Amino acid sequence: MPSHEGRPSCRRSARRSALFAAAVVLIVGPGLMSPGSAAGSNTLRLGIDAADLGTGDPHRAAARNDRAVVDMIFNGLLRYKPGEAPLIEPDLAAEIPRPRIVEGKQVWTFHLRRDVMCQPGPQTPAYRMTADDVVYSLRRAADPQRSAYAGDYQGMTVERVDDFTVDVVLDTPISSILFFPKVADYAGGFIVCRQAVEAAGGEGFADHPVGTGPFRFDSRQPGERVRLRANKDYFRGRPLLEGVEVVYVPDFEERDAALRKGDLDVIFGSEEADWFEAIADEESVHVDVFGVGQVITIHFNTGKPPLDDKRVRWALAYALDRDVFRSHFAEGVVENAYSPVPAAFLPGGLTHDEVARLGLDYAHDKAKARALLAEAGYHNGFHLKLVTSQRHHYRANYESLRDQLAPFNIEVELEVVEHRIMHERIRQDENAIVIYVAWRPNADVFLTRFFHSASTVVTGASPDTNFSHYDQIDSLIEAARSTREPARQVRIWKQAQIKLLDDAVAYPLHYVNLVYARGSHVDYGHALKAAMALYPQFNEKTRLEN
Amino acid sequence: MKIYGKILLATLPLLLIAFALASGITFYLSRSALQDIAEQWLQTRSLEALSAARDQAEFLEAYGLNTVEASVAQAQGDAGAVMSGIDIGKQGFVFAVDAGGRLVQAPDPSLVGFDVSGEAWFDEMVKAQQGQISYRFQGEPHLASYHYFEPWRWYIVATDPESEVYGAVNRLGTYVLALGAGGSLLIAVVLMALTRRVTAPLAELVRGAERVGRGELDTTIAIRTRDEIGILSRSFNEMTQQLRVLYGRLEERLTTVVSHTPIILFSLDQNGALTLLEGKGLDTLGADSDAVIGQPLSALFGRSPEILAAAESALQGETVNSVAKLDDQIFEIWCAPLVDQSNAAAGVIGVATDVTERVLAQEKLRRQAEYLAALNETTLGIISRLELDELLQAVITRAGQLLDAPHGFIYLADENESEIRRKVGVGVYEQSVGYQLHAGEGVAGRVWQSGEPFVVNSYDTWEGRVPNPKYDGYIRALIGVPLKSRAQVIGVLGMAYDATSLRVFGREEEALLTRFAELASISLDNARLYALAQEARRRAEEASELVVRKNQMLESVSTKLSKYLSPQVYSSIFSGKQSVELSSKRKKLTIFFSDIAGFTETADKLESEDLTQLLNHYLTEMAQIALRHGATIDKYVGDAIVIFFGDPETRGVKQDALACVRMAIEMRERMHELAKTWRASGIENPLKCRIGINTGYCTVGNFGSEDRMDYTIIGGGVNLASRLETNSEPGEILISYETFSQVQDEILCEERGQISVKGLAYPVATYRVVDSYEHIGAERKVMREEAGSFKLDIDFDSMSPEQRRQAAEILQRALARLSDS
Repeated sequence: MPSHEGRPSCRRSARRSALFAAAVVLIVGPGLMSPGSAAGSNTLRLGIDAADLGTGDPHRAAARNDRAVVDMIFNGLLRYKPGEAPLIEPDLAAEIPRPRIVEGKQVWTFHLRRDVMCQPGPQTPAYRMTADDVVYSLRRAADPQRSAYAGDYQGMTVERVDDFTVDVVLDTPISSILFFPKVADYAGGFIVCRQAVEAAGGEGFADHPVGTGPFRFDSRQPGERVRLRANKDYFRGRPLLEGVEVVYVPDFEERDAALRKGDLDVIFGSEEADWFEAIADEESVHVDVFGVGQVITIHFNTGKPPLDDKRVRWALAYALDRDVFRSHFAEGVVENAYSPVPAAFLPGGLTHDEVARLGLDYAHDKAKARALLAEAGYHNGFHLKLVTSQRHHYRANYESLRDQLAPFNIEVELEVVEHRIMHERIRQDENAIVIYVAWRPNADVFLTRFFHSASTVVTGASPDTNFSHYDQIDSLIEAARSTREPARQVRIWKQAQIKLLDDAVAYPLHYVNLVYARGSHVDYGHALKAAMALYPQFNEKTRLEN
Repeated sequence: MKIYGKILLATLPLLLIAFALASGITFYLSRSALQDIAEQWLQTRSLEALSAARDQAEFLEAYGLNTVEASVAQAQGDAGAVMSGIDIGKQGFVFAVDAGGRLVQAPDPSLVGFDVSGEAWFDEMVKAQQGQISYRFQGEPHLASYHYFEPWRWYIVATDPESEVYGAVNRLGTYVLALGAGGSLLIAVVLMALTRRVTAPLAELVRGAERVGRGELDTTIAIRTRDEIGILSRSFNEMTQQLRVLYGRLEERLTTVVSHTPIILFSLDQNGALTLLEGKGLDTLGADSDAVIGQPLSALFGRSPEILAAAESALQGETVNSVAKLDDQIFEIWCAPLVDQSNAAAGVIGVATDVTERVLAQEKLRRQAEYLAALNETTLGIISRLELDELLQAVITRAGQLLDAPHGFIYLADENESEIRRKVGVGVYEQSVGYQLHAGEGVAGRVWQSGEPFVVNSYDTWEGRVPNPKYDGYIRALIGVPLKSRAQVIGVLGMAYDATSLRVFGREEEALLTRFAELASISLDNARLYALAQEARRRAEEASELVVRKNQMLESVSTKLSKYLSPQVYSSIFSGKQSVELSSKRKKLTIFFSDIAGFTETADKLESEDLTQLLNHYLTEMAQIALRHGATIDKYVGDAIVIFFGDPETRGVKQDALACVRMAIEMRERMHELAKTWRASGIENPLKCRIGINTGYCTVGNFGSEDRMDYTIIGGGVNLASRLETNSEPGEILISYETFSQVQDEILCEERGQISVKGLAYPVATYRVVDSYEHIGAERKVMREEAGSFKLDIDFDSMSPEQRRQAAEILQRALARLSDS
């Protein structure tokens, strides 16, 4: 009964927003709303759904709200074109390099811009960024002690050629599709300022990050906000904004109210349909739905009965209907997905047409489902016990799953747990069916972490998120990874996905876009189709219109 | 037909045929080449498509996906995408047909599923599996290349419509034909225009040439082009211009010639009337040309029948050359008939050249030549005669022939030059040879006195004549010319005509005889010189005989002298290398002294004659040996001999010393042999020599007084040699260290202790000569070794026992140290 579930939450939100309207005035207000506050009239205020800044260290920032902050402070050698991921363009590098092979190794030579200044830090003055910073930064990203992304940088060495040239050497040659994300403005690809890191130490740097980006860290009020100031020496030009304030407002209604009142300029929105309807009437507010969002996939555990029978999995696939799942979300926020790798955002995904042509879209077909169940000996159905997170796009989907399987005598018993707990338990192989919401930077990561046998939960060599216990496409994943020719690599990824779809180990469900609302006076200064930074991206061109 | 027509008729059909052929060949070759290329191309494309399918199938196989229907479908789709991307021209494409004859892959998706199983070409493909086909598809002919792909049971076909394959060449065919036709037409028109352009100026040239032929030299052709025709026209114009100039110049020259040379140019019409009369020759005739024009030729040359006859002959058509006289003038006549254009006789042209002066000059020349020939012959006749009398006779004879004079004489001056005497005579003068005249007497006396020629053409009445009844009244004309030796008059040549001759001596005769006399004078000088030379030769021969006699005497003297001198000294003196005068020089010599031990006792026992014989025998033998070794024998003093080496000839100090020692050895041996001979003649004790040899500096040269000189040596070295000799035992050769050091390599010597010599402050080491190594067949015992920093040099022979002991000790010490290290 998804409609039942949705409406009460909407009503609750309304009530809560009224309460918080008052509370905000009392508690947060003076900082947030007073025109005389530190934030000048030309400072953009972003309301975000988190309690506080996790870390300012780009090599550790993984949470969405932390990614937004480091995106404004740091650059990569390359960058996803603002608002237009996955298009790549040069950032700190003067041009996009082409690889060459030297003694069996792949060498990418980066010529750096010479006009990039490291921001002044608490212990260090501003200075010119050179190859030293780049080498230091990429080596730091590869260090498991200092980086959360070290795994992505194994088999890679970085050498300084001269002050403004850096060679990145890969032991195993890979394609540009796989390589560029490693050196783009994402995760480990962010370039930190060496002198600042060394002066501040790891923790100090996380508290006061120093980079080369359009904004620089100013101050932080724990649990409240982080203030960023415009970097007037930014190499692409002085930002039009004076600064950015990231305000931590975990409660959606509260953010919503503040936006409507004009106390916030941009907020992280909601994918709920009700809010969409309500906000549509507000002239002063504009809602942006954009990528990259996250892919929702239903994983079937092929390791135990009854889902170890391919016919059962096929039956489940035919029994489910993506449109039914989608009806629980606001129009446009969620799109049907047919391929584990989202074709719209990443090379290597299968388009709807391709999947449909091969009959792997498993178009809803009750009769087929029943027939297959009967064939497998389950005409009387079976019972499954699954845990779900309390978060909306988990719980709503699990509930919809339960409801859709009921007519086939498949009884799904749901246990709603904390989001964190759900993650723990599904990794302990509890669920026969796992609904998982995630974004991965490229096809290789998607396929490796979800479908390579090494990633199998509990039993894999490095247990990760292969909830399906699937091991049939290992060689294809590895072949694709070592292919340097992008077109061929894409073909192999596609074949891998065809195989796994044919085996019905996963049912790609939806693609969930990001939803941000902004005051109509906010101009991001760039197109907004997809952002790897998971927020609308503020840069030197972003401005507030009066 | 003119050139224009000929060129067109010859070239146009050829052009058309060539064009047609070229078009046809081009079209045919292009089409077949295109088909080859297209087939090749299609096959390549088809293989490319096949390899795309193969790649995919291999991929599926490799990953075990070939049983997964969706994977295979995807792979086929991927292969299809590659095939669709293969370009074949603009209209060609790749498609695939499954085994059932259904299109499974085509660039146009609407064709997928199309059934071709009923087509004949599909059957052909099924049968052959791969190859080329021509087929119709959608009504249009196509070319195709196909391959069967077993894993998917696909026929992969690369195809292209023929219209595209041959499109270019089909279009080309039309183009080529149109181009051929158009080109032929164009070339025809161009050719016509060109030939017209070429022939028009040619025609103009032809007309111009005809005008020039008619004599219109002012003809010019307009130059319109710069090509060969233009050049021809220009050349034509230049030629006519040249002709005009040449003609003008010719006319001018003719006028000049006619008006400046003594000729008369005339022409007659066919009736013989004068039509032209010009020339400087008219001046001498005194004729007025204007007056006689129109008159017959006889009005001018009436007094010369030869000229009239020549003109008459020319009128008859002959060309005449002749010589004619007119009064005192002589003319050369040339007459030729004139003809008009139709070759009919139209008159006469004639030239009369006045050659009077030339003829006279030739006559004079002829005479002079005769004189010269005579003079030449005469001169040659006499110049070779060396006997004076003979010469004088020849001169007088030739002079007579030269002047055609029967009488003549030659006087020559006496030795004291007080008078001249007639040496020869011809004619009346033959009888009175020896007749004498004084200066100034008669013609000859006058000429002798003055040195100038003298002519008397009426001798009868000349007061200077010397009366002579023989020819008074008979001789009419007389000439005398001087005969000279350099500037001095040495005689007179005279010639005379008698009363029977009409001739006299004119200037010519005088000059002629004078010149002849000059030549005759040279001959006279020659004859006198010859006589002198003969005399000188005679005297020289007498002197030479005297010299030979004196030389013979000298030779006998020197032969006697040689016995008392060393041959070197002798030859040195007699070859002039060293003059015999008091002089000396210091040289390093090897000096030899010897005497016979106990000679005095032996001498006492012998008779004087026997002694002389013995001594002479001994000295002669020794001297022979010495000379064989190149020694200089200084002197014999009784039985003692002093010899030295090194002067006047030296072979170097060492060789001199060696030669000396070897000589000494040979002398000693010879003495052994002689001992037998002497024993036979009663000398009981064999004679033995004592020999001393030293090498040292001596003064060598001629010593003595101006009247008596001795070639000898003096000095310390000589004294030492003498001391060595007196110190030596009989039969022993004792040499000084100085000599020993020069000869030790070849001569075995023994040390014999030291002696003191008067005048030397230090004692002298002496050595006894044993023999030469060569003789005793032994080598000198010397040991010389060298290796790196080690040197060994031992002369065993020259070592005393003490020295040997010392050396052994040293070597043992060295050996001990060597084995230690």
